[in-house]
Amino acid sequence: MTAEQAVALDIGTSGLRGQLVNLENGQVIRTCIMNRNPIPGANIMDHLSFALECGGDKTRRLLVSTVHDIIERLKPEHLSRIAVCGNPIQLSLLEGKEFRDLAYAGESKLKEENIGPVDRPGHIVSGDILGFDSGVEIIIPPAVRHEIGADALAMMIESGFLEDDFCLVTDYGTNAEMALKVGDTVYTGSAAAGPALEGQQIGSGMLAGPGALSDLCRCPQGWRAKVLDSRMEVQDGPMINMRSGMIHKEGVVPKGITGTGVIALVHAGIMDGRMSPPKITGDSIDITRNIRFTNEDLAEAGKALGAIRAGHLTLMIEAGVSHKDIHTMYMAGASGTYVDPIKAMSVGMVPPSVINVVQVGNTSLQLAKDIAIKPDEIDSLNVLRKELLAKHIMFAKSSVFSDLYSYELAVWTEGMDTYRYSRKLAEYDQSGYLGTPLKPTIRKVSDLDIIDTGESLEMLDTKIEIRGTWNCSRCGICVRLCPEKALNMDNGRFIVNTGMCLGTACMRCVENCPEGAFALWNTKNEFHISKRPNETVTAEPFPL
Amino acid sequence: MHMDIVMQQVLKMKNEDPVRFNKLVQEGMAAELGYLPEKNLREISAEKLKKENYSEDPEYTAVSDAVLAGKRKDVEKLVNKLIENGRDPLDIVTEALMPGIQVQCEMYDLGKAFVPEILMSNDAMQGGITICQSELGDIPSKGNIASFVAQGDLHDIGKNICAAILKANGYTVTDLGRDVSKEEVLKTVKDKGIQLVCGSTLMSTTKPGLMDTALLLELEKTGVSVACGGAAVSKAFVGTFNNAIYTKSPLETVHKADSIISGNKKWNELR
Repeated sequence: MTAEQAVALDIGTSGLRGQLVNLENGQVIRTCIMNRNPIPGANIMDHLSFALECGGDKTRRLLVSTVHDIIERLKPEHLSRIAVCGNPIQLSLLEGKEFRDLAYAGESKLKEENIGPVDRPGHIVSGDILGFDSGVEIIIPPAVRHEIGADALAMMIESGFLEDDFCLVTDYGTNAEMALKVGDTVYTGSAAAGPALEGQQIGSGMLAGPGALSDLCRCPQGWRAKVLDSRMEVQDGPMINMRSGMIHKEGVVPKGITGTGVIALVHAGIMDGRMSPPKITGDSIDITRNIRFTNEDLAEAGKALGAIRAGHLTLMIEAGVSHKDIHTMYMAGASGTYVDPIKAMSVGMVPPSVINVVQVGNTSLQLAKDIAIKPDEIDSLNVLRKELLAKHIMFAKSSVFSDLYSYELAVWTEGMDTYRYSRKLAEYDQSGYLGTPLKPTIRKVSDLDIIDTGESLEMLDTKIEIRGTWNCSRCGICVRLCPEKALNMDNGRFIVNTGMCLGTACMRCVENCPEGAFALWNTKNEFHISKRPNETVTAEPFPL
Repeated sequence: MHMDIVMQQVLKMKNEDPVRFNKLVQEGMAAELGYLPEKNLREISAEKLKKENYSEDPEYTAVSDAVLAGKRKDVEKLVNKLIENGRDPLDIVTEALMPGIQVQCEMYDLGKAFVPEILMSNDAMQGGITICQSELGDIPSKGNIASFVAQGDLHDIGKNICAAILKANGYTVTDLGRDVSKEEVLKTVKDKGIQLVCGSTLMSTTKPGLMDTALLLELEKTGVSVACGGAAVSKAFVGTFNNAIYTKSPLETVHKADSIISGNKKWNELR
């Protein structure tokens, strides 16, 4: 008989990752990545808006069928357990539990809607809640408090942060969860950085994949673009001279820019004087005829970088420490693993006086794998959750954060001199923060964000679709105007690929319908979830 | 250095680094034409704007300067002294406090001042206004505006900027703060004779709050509309319900407020 197997799942805001694990020896058998989260919207608030408008049940069905999709591709032979890690919003939506307490920040709304505080301990449930055999255990790790979810816990546990002192950890994802440890106290926060640092919401942005510009390397003639080829290996691409604006077409032709590519471009542009936020000389850096980095992209990236920097500073100010005392930075998440820490420091993603940088990879998936192998760990996580002296700083409520973030916005989007910002920081005893960073020692736990991918790594595109039909002239304006090409018409039926859809932030389909008939999001409408046949790309493990 | 060598180097730079070359040429031309380099622009526009806006009384300009520099304590000290000396509190507001923030706002429009500075100047001005108000009661204004952040949301940076700029433009702003229910807005509208409500939200989950507020104000026949803004709000979203207009920037809010309050326009004329 074959050994028992388990699946470890990480549900992220911009994608899902799954691993099949052999429970006898703890080895990873194979890995599967879903490139998008199936809920419409590019960030967690948009996901919540969708759930509020269309109902938690429909949202749950989207997530559950994606989970089934991934597990199907992992081809488990004797599945006995599924461990899921992610932020509390995704986990609550998946389980079909209360999520509205996470949708609103203000007390008065919570009171009006009669939403009390929700406790989210770690627990084990039977597989039938997700449509699996009831013999399959589903393990859900705890959230410390509602804002510090299992993903933040994973980031603190798996990186080694909790054993260290005077250190910071940040998951450079869409929500940028971060924590600072001073003595026994952990200060946590989450700076909604948005998906710009994952290559989304950037005009020519893309997720890591073949043709993605992922880095720039300094050379005598300018900056050599690094582009991923069809095997996801890094190849030389065009030569970009920031000063002259000359581009030499060489090597692999890029098709888009990833998050780490965005960081490299901002770093290079500022270094060579081509960019002085909010403006790029010549309004854009044209890498190929179709791929360019524009003023708007710089502003988007700047807002995300500013949110992270203001977040780090807020934690330090609230903890009453100077940034000069912080020695170690643990960088988690895919962007945190693949980004060049030197460039990350120069654009403000890492405090300047850090002397050790540790790139720890995807900690959420690691925690899921650990509890998949040892489900009893859930008890010690529940104990830790009670013991962890976490002081959560809700940035939306923090006057320090809003003060600093208004400076960040002024620096990145209005062109304010950084010296005025430094003067402000001096008032908070954080002088020198905007100075030249130190050269840290860098340790990479693994070359990949997923430390062990097993015998194969498969990347899936989301195939979850919602279909609907209603009375209208079928003029097709909605289909033409969809910026993500997520909407299609087939035989008079409308089909939306929910993973591609930008959700409530976009709504061009609804707003531009000349007849006001577009009703796919109508709550009364029947929701048909279907799947297109899977055509998958099998790829080698990739450095971004 | 021989002229030929200089020219050679200039040509070399033109080939190798045209961006920098063009910049140098343009800076050179600007200097020839009498424009000073960009670094001094801020001071120059500040001086020019001060001349246009400031009072001639040096005691008043001192207050204006303190507002411009965003120094609340200095402003309070100066205003208290002026009142002790028997100056008219209303004069202090219009001749000393307002010109300071006026200059700051115009600098902001020119891209020479930035949001944090507006917020600080506003804070300083409010310090002065509170003192004058306690002497004088209500201060005449262009109109009454209420500002709030939708119920469920706490992100108020944008709302604060907007309220500051409206105040700087002569409106009385009743700031209801954040996480505000529609009933609370309605009550304020009825109690305080509000002529326009400005609502904002950053979170997409809370944007229905703006719609509900606009519709409640319409239902209750208050005749007051809601100007909506904020990161989660778009023109198209505001277009889906009655009794509301979309304003992209604080400045646009001021213009639309002028049209509604002074120009007697209705929301549907401004969409």
